[in-house]
Amino acid sequence: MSTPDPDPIPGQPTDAAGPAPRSIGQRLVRAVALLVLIAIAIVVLFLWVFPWVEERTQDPTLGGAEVVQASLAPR
Amino acid sequence: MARVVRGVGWTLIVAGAVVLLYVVYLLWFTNFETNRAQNDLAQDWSLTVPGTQDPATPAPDDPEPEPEQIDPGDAYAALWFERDGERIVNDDVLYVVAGVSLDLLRAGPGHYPGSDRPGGAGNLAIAGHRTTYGSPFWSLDELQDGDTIHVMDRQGREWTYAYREQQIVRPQDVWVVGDDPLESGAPTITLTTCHPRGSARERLIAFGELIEDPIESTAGADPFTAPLPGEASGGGTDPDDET
Repeated sequence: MSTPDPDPIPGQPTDAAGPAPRSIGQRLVRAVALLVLIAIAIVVLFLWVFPWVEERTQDPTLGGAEVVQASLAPR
Repeated sequence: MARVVRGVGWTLIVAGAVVLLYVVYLLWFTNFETNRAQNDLAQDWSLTVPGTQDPATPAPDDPEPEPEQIDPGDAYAALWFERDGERIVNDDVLYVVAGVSLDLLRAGPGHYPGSDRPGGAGNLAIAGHRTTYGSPFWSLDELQDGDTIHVMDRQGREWTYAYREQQIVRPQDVWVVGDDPLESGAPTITLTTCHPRGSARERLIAFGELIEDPIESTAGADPFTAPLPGEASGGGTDPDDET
């Protein structure tokens, strides 16, 4: 009869070959990096991507406002 | 490998959520944005625009008012549509802003800079969203012969255009907002919007011509207290009587 292995201790590697646990500092850096990435993504989406999509799907003007203005200017 | 798959999976989930949120924003929140802007324009309009005058019968001693400088985004005119005395296309009076940039069109339909003024001898051109941002021109394709397009300018004068025809054109066909798109020589109004709904692949254009002898607007002297569709167009109707 063999006895089952005891439960792994939280925070301790279960296998000698497994990854080393991350320190709180490393986790903090990862979380901040992730938040920065998300913030950049939101800014890019709202400043460039969404307006670009909107221009191509929701523009009710003729040839875009600039073309219209240019065509109407010399009156 | 498992980390890569997990990363790709999370990226797709986040991208899907962003797209979903954007669609919700476009279909719901843009309407709130436009409603708020229209309310602000209505308030501005009520403070600065005098009561309605009949454009066909100006007071003899009343000289033509000087054209007012209207900043982009400010209320340029009020617009509504009627069929047999009932509002069509949009239940509410639409406040038209000066300018047609996408930013300005968030507030409502926009007047093409350089196109003529309401009641002018040339072409009054107005653009409006077909979908999103309050969808002011959602039902523009339902206009038919006999319908009228009403425009009130900032002097409080109401101008009536008879609907003439509609066309589907390409986005670069800027001739429709030119001086005389119908080549009739008559003062014209041109309304432009997206076609088909939800796409800017083409443009739906509705044309109207100024009625020299305007029919009396059955919406009443003040379009802003006009009866809504379904209400009796005659006076004296108590809204509470509706069943």
